[in-house]
Amino acid sequence: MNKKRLMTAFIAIFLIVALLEAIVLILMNRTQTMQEPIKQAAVTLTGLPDLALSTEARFVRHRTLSDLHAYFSEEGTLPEYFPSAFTYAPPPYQHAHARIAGE
Amino acid sequence: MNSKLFFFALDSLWRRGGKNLAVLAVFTLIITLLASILLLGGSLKKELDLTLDSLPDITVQKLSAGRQTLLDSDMVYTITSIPGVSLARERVWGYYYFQNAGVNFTVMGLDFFLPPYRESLRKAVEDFDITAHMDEDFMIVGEGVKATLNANYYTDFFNFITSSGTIKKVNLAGTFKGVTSLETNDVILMPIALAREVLEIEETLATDIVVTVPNPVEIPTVVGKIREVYPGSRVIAKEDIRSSYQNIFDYKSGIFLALFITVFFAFFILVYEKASGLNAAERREIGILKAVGWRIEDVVRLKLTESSLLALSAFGVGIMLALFYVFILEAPLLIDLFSGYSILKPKVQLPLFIDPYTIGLIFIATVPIYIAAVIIPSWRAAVIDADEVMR
Amino acid sequence: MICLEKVTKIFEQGGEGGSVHSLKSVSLHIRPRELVVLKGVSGSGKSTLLSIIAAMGKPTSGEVIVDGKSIAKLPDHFASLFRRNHIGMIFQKFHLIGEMSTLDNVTLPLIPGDEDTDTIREKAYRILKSLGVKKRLGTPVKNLSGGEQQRVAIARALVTNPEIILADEPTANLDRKLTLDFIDILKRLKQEGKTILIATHDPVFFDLGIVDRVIEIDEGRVV
Repeated sequence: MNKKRLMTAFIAIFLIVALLEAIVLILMNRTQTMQEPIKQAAVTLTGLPDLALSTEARFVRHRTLSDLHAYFSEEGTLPEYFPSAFTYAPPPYQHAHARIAGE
Repeated sequence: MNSKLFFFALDSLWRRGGKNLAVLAVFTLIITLLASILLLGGSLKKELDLTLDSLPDITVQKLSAGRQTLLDSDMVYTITSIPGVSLARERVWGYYYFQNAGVNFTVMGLDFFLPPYRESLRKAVEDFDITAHMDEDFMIVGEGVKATLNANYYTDFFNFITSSGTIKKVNLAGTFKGVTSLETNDVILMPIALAREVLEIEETLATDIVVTVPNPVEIPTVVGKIREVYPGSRVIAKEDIRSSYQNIFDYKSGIFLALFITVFFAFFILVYEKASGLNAAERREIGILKAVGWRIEDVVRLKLTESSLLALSAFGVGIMLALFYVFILEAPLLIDLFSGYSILKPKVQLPLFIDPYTIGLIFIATVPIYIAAVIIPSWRAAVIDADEVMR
Repeated sequence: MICLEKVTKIFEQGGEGGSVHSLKSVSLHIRPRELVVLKGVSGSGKSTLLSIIAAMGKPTSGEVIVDGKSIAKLPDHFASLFRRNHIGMIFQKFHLIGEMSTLDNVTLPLIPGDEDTDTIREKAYRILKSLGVKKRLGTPVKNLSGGEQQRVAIARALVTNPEIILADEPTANLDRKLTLDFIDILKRLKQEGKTILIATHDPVFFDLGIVDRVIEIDEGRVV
């Protein structure tokens, strides 16, 4: 019979946590809805699509506006390096942080 | 529903506690992972959808030898004369690579005095008073830019280095509000003339042209006309952006697919283990039940209750954990997958968006399959004559 | 009460080839309230006979009539229902669910039925009490002694108040004292008017006063 008690306890805890979570999320949603006009104003100013999530390469930043050929813009004979570089950084010399050896 | 059967099922799960707990844990983990990925993707798409209407109706770019190049400002006049077009204006924008920090900024030229922008500036920018900056070179930056500048010891101004080596000092006049981080984190807004200097774009040229077409029905017509007049141009309508947003994360789909496959693989191992048959103890138990007079349907009902309890618990807890992880914790680690190796990471406040279809999909893909995997071998065992099972 | 007419049971051995003729044209009649002992060595077919009477297995051919009902060809749904309501079976190895408590084991046959939890627990408690098991009702049965387990097995067989009790080698795993205890319980059951059939090769049953008849089975045939 203590199983019954345990089961009731589990369900009660689950429901309470779910309720708490629901309340938090609803409040969050309300705040976010109020922020929507601010975001829309910002985009009116910039006029640019796509989120600033992927800023690693310029042809990724405004993906909707860029085209496939942007990837070749360095040099036509360079192999396409974009697909391999979207989660980890390309070799350091591309950022030219440090002086290139031998300079 | 027979409450005795329900509690017996509960008891039954408890009796094989360790194993069931492991199954519950794995099942919950699988659902949490799956739900997190889908919720995150859905949420980012929602963020994009929120601001879609603020974008220009049509954007015109020039292609030369297959690559995007600067276009003639004169194109504006021709485009404005197309019926349906209420306004066409040139834009000057581009990317500025800040070498010391290894980051790309987006530099956008804006006519700060145009009335429509006054309201937007007031809403989106912190404490910005244009009158204080009328006589100087100024810019408004996103939070990420500000942080980068501060990290490199620039506090209220920045020295742009043009491609010909000249240095241009620009004062910091304001920052975009934090909530716009996802949209403006790397953006620098400055007067058009200044943008031309920094990006070294001549007076007669522009990056692209944006067109306002008040009647949405006419947009495709206008697009067609622009293409007729300028065959070498690339014309992007708002609808194109909308459909592009649908599969915005497709180019990273390789990684997601790999994740999904791993998750599903784990799940199907679980299901296979269940479906491949009962162990000796379980068969014996079913035999005992048959021997004391349980019908096949009673046994199946028992197993249905057992597996439903487990699956639904896993589902409930899994979804709750996913919601907590994505919207309250802001999905650490997982969001990095979406943002790649950018050095400039925006402050991500994911909009709450729970797509019932997504939840439904996750439910259908997991719960009934698990329940079936448990019921089928149990049914098979229950169908055999009781004495054969007991032998 | 129990009528078997030319019952034959053949087990197909599948890949190993050959088939086992467990029962060969067995016919017997058992009257109500009789206590009958089925005598025979292991493998003689006693267990098979009992399981057919309990509708746990179907005969290959022949007729089985229990309490006026023909059960030889009953589909599983009705066979199980019949077994639940009319038969109480006691197994040699008890076949209890070890991790389950005493009380839960005894209520097992009643769970799919219509009565509520309190009623079935009450019934189980009463039967266990009458058999001398009052304590440790919440303990898992695997922690009980052999004698206590046997009583629990008997209680489970009796909880549905069946008219017929079938016992398959009930004393095979018991010592002398427990065997005598079992015989005492048998006496009580006979007084209550139950029809009892015991399959055993334990000689203590062959000369018992309460036994009405001894039927001998050898190699699937009634001797």
